[in-house]
Amino acid sequence: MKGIAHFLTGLAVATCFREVVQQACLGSLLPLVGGIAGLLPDTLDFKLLRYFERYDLEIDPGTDLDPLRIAEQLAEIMRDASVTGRRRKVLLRTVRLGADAWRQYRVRFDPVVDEVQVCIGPTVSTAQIPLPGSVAGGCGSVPLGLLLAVESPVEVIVDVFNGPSLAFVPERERIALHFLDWHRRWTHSFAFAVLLGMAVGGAFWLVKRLESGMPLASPMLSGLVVTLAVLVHILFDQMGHMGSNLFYPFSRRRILGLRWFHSSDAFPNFAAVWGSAWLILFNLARFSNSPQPAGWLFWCVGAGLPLAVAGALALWTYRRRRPEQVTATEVPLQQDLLAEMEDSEGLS
Amino acid sequence: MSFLEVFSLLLTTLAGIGIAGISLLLPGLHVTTVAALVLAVIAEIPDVSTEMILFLFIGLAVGYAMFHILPAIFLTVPDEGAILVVGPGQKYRSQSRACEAVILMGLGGLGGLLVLVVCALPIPLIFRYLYVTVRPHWHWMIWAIVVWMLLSEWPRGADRAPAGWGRWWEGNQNVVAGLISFLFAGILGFILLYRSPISFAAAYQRLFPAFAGLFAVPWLAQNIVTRTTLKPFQYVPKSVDVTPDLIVRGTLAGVLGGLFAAFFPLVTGGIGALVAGHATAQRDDRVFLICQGASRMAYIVGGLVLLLVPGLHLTRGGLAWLLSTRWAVALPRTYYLAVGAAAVAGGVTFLLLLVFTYWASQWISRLSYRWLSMGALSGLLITVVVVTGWAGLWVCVVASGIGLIPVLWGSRRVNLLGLLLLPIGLDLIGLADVLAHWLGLM
Repeated sequence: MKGIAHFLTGLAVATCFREVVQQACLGSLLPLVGGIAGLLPDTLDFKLLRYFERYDLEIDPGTDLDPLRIAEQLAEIMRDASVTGRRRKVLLRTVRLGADAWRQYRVRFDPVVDEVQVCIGPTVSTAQIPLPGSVAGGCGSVPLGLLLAVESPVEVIVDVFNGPSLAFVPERERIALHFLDWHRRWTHSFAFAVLLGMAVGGAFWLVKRLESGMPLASPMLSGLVVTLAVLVHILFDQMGHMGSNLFYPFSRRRILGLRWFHSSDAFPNFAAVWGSAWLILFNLARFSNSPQPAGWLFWCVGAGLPLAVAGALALWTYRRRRPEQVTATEVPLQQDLLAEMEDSEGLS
Repeated sequence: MSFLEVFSLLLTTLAGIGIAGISLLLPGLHVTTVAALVLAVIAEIPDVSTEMILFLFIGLAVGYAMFHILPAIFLTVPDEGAILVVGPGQKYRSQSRACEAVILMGLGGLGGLLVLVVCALPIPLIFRYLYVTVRPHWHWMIWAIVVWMLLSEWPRGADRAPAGWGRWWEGNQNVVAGLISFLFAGILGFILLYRSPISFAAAYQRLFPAFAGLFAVPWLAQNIVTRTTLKPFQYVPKSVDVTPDLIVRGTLAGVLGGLFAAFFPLVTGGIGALVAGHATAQRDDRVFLICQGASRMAYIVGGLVLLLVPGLHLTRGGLAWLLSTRWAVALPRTYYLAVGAAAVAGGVTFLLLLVFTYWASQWISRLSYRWLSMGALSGLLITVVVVTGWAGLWVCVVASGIGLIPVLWGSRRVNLLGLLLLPIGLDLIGLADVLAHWLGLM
C-alpha cells in the first residue's frame, strides 16, 4: 500500500490507547511514534536496504535493445542456479529515453514450453502509458531445459524508474522465481515488529530514567504502539499479492499474500486512509479529557457517506471494465513497487 | 433582502473576479498579496462595507484559484498551491496539450466548488464537531504532517554505482536535498518570524517575498538560463479526454485534500494537494490535474468560507486572516450568500478560463518564452520591492537560493513549506524560543 496509508494506520493504532490520547492532549508527541513505526518497514527497504543488495547479474540493455541477448543472459544464470544449487540474483535495468519516456520490455517465463522470452514493448510515459505513435519491437526466446516452480507463464514488465530484481532459487528439482528479493524480508517480519517495539520501549525507559521530568508515556506502552503499528503494516501488505517474509529469521521463505488487491489500487488505499482518519477522530473523541459525543453525524459522514460514494464508483468502474484476455500471470512487480515508493510529484 | 442588494453583492463578486484577472499580469503572486493590495486601495475609498469586501474576496478567491492555473501550466510559474502541477504541466505543454491541462484543472476547480455548494448545509455541523475534537491535538497532527512529508519522499536517483554506500548516495540525493531544503526554508522562516528585516509597515506581507523566492523565481530563472522554448503550437481541443468517473474521483480527492488544508492551521494548499494525490493512489495524469484543480479551489475558497461558518469563525489562510480583523460574527445568511456567490463566480470564471486559455494558446506561441519569463520575473521582483521594500528583495534573493535546491536536485518542492512548518511547528510544542535563542534571534 502507499506510504500515507501505512503512516495513518500507525497513527490510528496509537490513538487506540487512552493513555496515548490523554498524554497527547497534554503536549506529548507519542502518536507520531506509531505513524513512524507504520512507515518504517518500507522506509528501511526503499531508502537503505535496496542499495546494499548485491546482484550476480545486472542486465542493462541500453537504448539498442536486443531481446535475444537478454533472454540468453537470463537463461544462462538460471541454469547456473540449477547446476550450483545456489540462489542467483538478477537486476533488470530500465531503459530511459527522455525526461518522461521509457522503453518497455517484458520478460516471460513459460513453464509449459520451457523457455524464457523477452519482448520489446512500446515507449511509455512515467505513468506507464504508451506514448502516441510508439510501437512494440521484436521478441527473442531461449529454451531453458529447467523445471520452473510455477504452474503457468509468468510475465515481468520492465519500464519505469529503477527496474525490478529477480532471484532464481533452487528448490528441490525446480527453480523458484522470487521477485524483488530485497523487499519485505526481515523488515516485514513478526520478529522485527517485536524487537523494534522492545528497542523503542527500552529507549523510552532510558530517557525516562535520565530525564525524570519529561512527559513521556510508559516504556511498555510506547513499545506496544510500535510493535502493533509494524504488525498492522505487515498485515495490510499481506492482503496484497507479493506477501512478506513473516517468520524471519526462522524461515527465509516469503509467504504469498492473500491477493485481495494490488498495492496500486486506488480503492483499498483510499479506504485505508479514510478508515484510519475516521478511527483517529473516533478515538480522540472518546478518550479526550472532555469526551465529545460521536452521534449520528459522525457515523453517517465518517462511515456511511464514503462507503456509498466509493461503492458507487467501484460499481461504475467495474461495469465499464472490458474483459481482457489473460495469457500469463503478470507479476504485479512494477505496480506494487511504484505504488509503495512513488510520490505524486514523481509522476510528473 | 432586496433584489438590489443581491445585485450589488453579485456585482462586487464580479469585481473580485476582475481583480483576479488583472492579477494574471503578475504571475506567481500569492492570493494574500493581491488581497492585501486590494485592501490598501479600498482603505482610500469611503463607505465600503465589510460585507462588500467579503464578496469582493469571494470573487477574488474563485477567480484566483481558476485563472492562476494558466501561468502554472503555460509559463511554469506556480503559486504555492500549484507547485505540484508544474511537472505534469510541462509534460502536457511539450505535447502541445497545455490547453487540455488547463481545462482539466479548471474542471476540477468547478467540481470542487460544486461539492462545496452541495455540502454547504452539513459543513457547519461537520467542522464544528471536528474543531472541538481535534483542537487539543493540533501540535502532534502538524508534526505528523511534517514527518510524513519528509519520510515519504522516496529516492529517485540513478543507482548505477556498485552496491553499498556509493549506490545509496546516488539514489538518495533527492531525499537529502529535500531534507536540506526543508531545514534551510525553516531557518529562513525563523528569521522572518523572529527578526524580520522587512519594515513594520509591510508586516502583513513579510512572507510574500519568501514565497515568491521559494516557488516562483527559481522556475523563471531556470526558464531564462536554460533558454527553454515553447512548442510553437498549442492544440486547442474541442473536448477533453476524460470520463465522468475520472472527474468524480479527481474532484472528491481534491476537495478532501483542499478542505484538510483549509481546516488545519499551517497546512497550505500545496500540502493539501500532496495529501490528496497520495491518499487516492492516483497514477493518471488527468485525475491528478483534476484533483489539483479541485484541491486549490477547496483550499482557497474553503478557507474563506470556514471563517463565515456560524459558531466556528475559523481563521485559516491569508484571505480569512485579512478579513478576520474586520469580521466579528457571521450570520447564517452571510454564510449561505457567500456560498451562493462562490457558485456563481465558479461558473463565470470557468467560462472565462476557457476564453483566457484560447488567448494564451494563441499569444504564447508568438512570444519568446525567454522574454516572457524575463518580463514575469521583473514584474514579480518589482512587486516585491514596492510591497516590502529593498529588504524584501534581499529576502526574496535568499529564498530563491533555497528554492533552487529542489530544481537542481529533483527533490520535492513542497518541502520548502518548512518556511512555516518548522518555526510554527516548534512553537506548538514549546521549542521555538529555544531554537531562536540558539540561532541568536532573541
